[in-house]
Amino acid sequence: MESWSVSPARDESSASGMGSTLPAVAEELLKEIKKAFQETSHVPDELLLRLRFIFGPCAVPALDLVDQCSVTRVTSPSGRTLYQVLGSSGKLYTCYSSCHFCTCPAFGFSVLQKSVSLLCKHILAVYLSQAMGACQELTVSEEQLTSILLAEEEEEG
Amino acid sequence: MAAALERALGSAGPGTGPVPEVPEVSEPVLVLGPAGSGRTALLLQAALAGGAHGPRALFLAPSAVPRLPNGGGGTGTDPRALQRLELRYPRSRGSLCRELGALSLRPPDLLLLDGLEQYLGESPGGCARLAALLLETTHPPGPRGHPRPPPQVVAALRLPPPAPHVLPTLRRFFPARCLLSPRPGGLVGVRLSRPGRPPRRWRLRLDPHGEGEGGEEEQEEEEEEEEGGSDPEEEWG
Repeated sequence: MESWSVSPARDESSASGMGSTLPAVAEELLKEIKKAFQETSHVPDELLLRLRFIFGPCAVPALDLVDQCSVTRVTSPSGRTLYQVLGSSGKLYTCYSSCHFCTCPAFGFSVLQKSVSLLCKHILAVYLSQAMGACQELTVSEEQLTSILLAEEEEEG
Repeated sequence: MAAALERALGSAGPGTGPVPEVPEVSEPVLVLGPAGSGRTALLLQAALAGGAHGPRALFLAPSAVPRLPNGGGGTGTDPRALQRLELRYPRSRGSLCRELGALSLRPPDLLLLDGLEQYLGESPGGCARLAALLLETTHPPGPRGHPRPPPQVVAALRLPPPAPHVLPTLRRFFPARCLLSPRPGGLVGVRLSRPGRPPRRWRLRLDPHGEGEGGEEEQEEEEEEEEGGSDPEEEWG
């Protein structure tokens, strides 16, 4: 088993680097947050209010996750990437990089079943961590990355 | 993605409207159709349509395909295309996930998943997870990786869907959809919808069992009359 290396790193990817499509207004807001943070290391209240307006009740918890550096970008040598987010309950959730998907229960309920939320707080935290350069970095082998992807499938049987 | 299907279906006939010349995008396609509408045959045609220069295709299905279109290497099938087609039959969702997990080692140019309804599970979360896993394992590596074109992904689902949540959930992950509607006389109406483009329509003869098809003339596309009324896909949720 290879050892995993964790190091904080500045994320240079674009605000919408998850490979999914956000509404244009959300995309624009994330770009503005990224620009403001790069220039002042601060996100103005006006942008925070817009964040709350667009993303609703998951905006503040997502910002809390960013403050706590809870988002880790996991990358394999080939460049494959996914995100792990340490939730407020202490459980680790996986967010995919190709589409909007999170393994948390809220994603299944609020996003998929009820369609009352655009994203869960973990996916929003990934976007915000990318915009604010707050992602932790973790490099794993190809096999380890695949294991993370399939972990809960294996558990479920 | 849609390019592989469009190659199999042929260019749109006169009267179907101009197709804007936009750069090819890699959106995954969901093929939808009732039993016997030719979903399997269409997927296999997509794999073989490019002939010797076609994609290196991986076809995944829960059970074995009895025969390939055109008699499997017979008339109309370039044998070199068959050499580029790999057929695998994961019997369970777990087996399928392991197949998907292994794609990073040797990704195909074209991934075809037939019988999606047999792998989805019962919950919306399970359905979404499999669709997301399909996209994630075929997602090209980031800037640190070796640049390569993303694999084209085409999955086929039998209608009616196994549960009401299935189509709304899958639509989140498959922006392009190809609806097969059986017509009198053994023909199949095909409507391909892609984001930002007008729908394209064909009328084909697709063998529902992937067995020998009709002659060349029958495979030729025809202009299909505009269908009135509501979107047939809406019927299923």
